[in-house]
Amino acid sequence: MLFILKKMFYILALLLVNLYVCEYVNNKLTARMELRRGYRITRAKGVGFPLVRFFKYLSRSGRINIWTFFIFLLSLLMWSAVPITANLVLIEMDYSLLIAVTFYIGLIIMLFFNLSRTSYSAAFSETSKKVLILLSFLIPALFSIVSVVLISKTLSLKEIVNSQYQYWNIILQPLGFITFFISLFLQFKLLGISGKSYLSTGINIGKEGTGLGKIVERFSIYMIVFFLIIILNILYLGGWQGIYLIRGEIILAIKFYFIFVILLLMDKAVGRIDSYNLLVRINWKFLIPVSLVNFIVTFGFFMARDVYNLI
Amino acid sequence: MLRLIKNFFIVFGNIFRKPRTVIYPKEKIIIPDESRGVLHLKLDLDSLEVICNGCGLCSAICPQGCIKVKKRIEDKGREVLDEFCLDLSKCIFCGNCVEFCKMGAIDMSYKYQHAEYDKKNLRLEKIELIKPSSTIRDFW
Repeated sequence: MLFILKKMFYILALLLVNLYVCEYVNNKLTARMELRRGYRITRAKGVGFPLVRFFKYLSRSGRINIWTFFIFLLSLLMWSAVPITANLVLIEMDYSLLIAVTFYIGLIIMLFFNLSRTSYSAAFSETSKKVLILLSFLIPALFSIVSVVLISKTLSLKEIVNSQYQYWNIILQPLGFITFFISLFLQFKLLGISGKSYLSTGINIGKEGTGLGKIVERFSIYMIVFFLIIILNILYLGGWQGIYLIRGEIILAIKFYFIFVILLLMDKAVGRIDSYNLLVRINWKFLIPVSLVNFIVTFGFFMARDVYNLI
Repeated sequence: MLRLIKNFFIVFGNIFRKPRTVIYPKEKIIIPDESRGVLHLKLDLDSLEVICNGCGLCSAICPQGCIKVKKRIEDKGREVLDEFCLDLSKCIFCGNCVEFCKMGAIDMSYKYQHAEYDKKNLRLEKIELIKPSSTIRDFW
């Protein structure tokens, strides 16, 4: 029991430290990319910015609704099956990928619909649009994940990492990596780490609420991004496998922050995606067909190798 | 796609460039050339009298109607400016008055800080508009 509590504490501490660093880096880098100075109220180059922001929101209102509470719960539960490093996993099981992805899908659906507060008159059209947007970046991600599962023949995240001791999966699945990364980027953009999109918040973009509810929403948005970056690392970039003498944990941290900074840079380079038609065009004309082709090729390879023993 | 890559490198380069914004009261930048501040009534340097003869064209042309001009006629029949009132709370600094003035009697200073506690203080009279602005086009 104490052992599990210790692990829970480590995971929570790691997540909170990451959250703090990422929020600071997000603020600072986003400002510098726009040739601004960024937040300067706190001394030492605004290191205390995330803390100040946290208390600013907290001082406004302490109320949350039940859906926000579930979002908070899910964003913590999501980490129960994901191994952050080789030993730092709460529950070890053979179906960790399945459990983690299920939690993730549940969380993103709840978050996506909670972010928008549409009026009842526009509820139907807005909801159907949201479902289409959700599907358009969930399907490529799922196809990519299934392709990796077919290659490594396991649903355990630990074994997927261990199967990459020779080659990283990015070499075997470049298309899968590209589609997963673009899907991650679209989620990063739509959920609004640095700036909200009309597509995720609906027509009432400025009325998303303040106080504790907003903190929870922002926390869960970060959790989704962290989760996806960790999964991307595990599935395609060798996870926590060390390179030469450098420890795997350090390599994982470097890869994690590298991807986060790349996402921030791309976020600023692309501009806001506010056009629903543009998003649907990108997804249904590029992402889904490419991921489908990747999946079919991988499936064909899997059948030939493991079922018919042709290769 | 090429544009995206170009944007990516521009954004990346921006991280290492000097920020354009400053922390206002502490750091200052040069006021841009031709920037528009509060109106200034020019003086004739020989006689040290106001060049404006109070024709009222600026008042007529002002889109916000923030200029009020009153003239008087002296004994010799010469028209001179009696009152000139500018309401800064309405002024949009369009510069029409400067452009249309036939006498070239008005120009725009670089004075830009107009924050006041009382709205009455934003009504500037002739004497205040004649005074040369303390703000020159240097550092804020």
